[in-house]
Amino acid sequence: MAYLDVTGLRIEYERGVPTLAHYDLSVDEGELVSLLGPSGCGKTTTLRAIAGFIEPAGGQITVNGKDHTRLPPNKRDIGMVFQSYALFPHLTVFDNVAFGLKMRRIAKSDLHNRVVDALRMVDLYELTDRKPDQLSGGQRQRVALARAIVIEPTLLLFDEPLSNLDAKLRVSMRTEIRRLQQRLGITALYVTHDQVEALAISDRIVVMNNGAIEQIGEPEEIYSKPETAFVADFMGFANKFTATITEKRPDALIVRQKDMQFTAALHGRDIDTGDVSIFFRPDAASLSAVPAENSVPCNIVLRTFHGNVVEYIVTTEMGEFVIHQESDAPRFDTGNAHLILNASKLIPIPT
Amino acid sequence: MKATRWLLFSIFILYFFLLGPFVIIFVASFGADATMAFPPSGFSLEWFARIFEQEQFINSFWTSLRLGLISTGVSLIFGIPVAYGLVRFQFRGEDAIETIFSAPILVPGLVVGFAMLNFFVLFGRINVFQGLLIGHTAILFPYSVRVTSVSLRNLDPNIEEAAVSLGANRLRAFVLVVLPNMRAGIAAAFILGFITSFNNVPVSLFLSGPGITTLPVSMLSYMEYYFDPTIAALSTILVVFSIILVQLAERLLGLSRFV
Repeated sequence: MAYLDVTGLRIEYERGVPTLAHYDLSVDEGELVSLLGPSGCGKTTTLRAIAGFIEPAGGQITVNGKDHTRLPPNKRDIGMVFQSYALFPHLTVFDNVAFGLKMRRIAKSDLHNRVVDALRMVDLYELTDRKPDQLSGGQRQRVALARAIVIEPTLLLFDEPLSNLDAKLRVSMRTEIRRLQQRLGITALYVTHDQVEALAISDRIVVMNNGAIEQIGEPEEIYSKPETAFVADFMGFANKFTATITEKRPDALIVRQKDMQFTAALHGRDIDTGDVSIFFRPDAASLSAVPAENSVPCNIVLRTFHGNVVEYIVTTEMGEFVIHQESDAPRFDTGNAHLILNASKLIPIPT
Repeated sequence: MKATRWLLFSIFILYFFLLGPFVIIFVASFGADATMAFPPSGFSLEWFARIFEQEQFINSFWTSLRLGLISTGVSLIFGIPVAYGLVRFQFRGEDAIETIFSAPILVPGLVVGFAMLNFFVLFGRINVFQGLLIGHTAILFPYSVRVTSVSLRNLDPNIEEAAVSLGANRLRAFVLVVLPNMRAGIAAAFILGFITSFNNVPVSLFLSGPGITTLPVSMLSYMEYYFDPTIAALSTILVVFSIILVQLAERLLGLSRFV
């Protein structure tokens, strides 16, 4: 049994209409797992059910072996960090952090020490007497973090905690959250719609769509081996064409599209026959003046310089593709060329 | 150019008819004549002194003050939970309930007063002050709901959930986290409610009884018999008092955000 176990969870906002159904998730102790997906995919609903703010219509939630399914949210010992920070505007930084300890009737001297420790951990010790409206966005989120960890929660939940911050701050806060979580060994569930954030911060990622789990895996797997068309698309596999399987080899498929033939890696997956969509990232192909294996004639429509890469829009018989080349790769201008597809980076997904 | 001139003209007309009568009252209250006169023939503070010789004004002032404070307080005690329910929860018939709660604003005060008088007579056993209290609480209730709703709408709903996740039950979360952040709205509702109650004539007119009446009603009945500038002097005091109260509220709380 895992540390956090969600089995057969069913959530209905409207009677008989499930927002989530048959939802299973397990998180090990000390792990940080992200729930990643577009808005409306059910990731926040899952988080709120675990926090106890939504009563499930079915299923079970256990934390550290203890059944939480019908436990009121204030009895759960679960820390939560909100996108809006949700600091108490009328209380100072110190009193915000002390709130949970006061609810637990912690003795004054102990309370003081624990609040100070928590504020030191997030580097805010100098600002204890400030009110939330005297703090910057990043400082507010650090107070919210201190407030959630000071109660030594059994589980820490993050609901898009960085979405209100600017890009640069997001990266540094992300690192800070990850370091703190690892240092304290807290088990955490992290909701985000930002792929880069999920890849950077997680031990494992749960990609969700329409109230169901599409794929669970380590960031590397999710990034390079999507198992469904949704995950491929969401993780930035910008190019896709359809093909028919003509031959299965131990670790690769030979597929055919019109009179062209390509090799696509299987990466240990089991696809036999039928039609597939082949997904590939913009950097999984290169341009060449002459044909080669796994190549297709193409016509370069547009070349755009992006600094570290050069982007080409090319058209082929299989459709239009976006291709990224290193800036120091040979330059191509608009006109005819050949597109060589990297077989190990072509991901076949059954249609 | 022409549009601007029209605008200035309308503003002038508006202020002329709005403030003009008050200027006359204000000036007349310092007059030396035995009846209201404009312009007065001399300067005198006699009428201000006269107010305090009239026992009915003193008594009805205390009635109005008590009535205003208590009815505003009671309307808030009932109004805050209603505002909370309307703002935080979505439910069927929400619009209908909001309409019902604003009905006392829409129904003419005379009708409200008359209806209540009949209602109380029907039930009997309610003394005059209790009757006034119920009547005023009823007319203030919609203001209390509306004004406190505004401060609730401006409050991040997540702070309650944050408090709950930290171990507070729903009630404690409300008392410790929501109420303190509604302070400005509650104070604004209190001042607005108090002024509304203090100035109310139509409801009080019907519900007043022997020996117990409110200040505006006793002013009205005084005017039926006398036409000296005492009422003008009293009006001046009331207006100055209201202006000070509203200005104070605006300074301290930004009253205009709520109404």
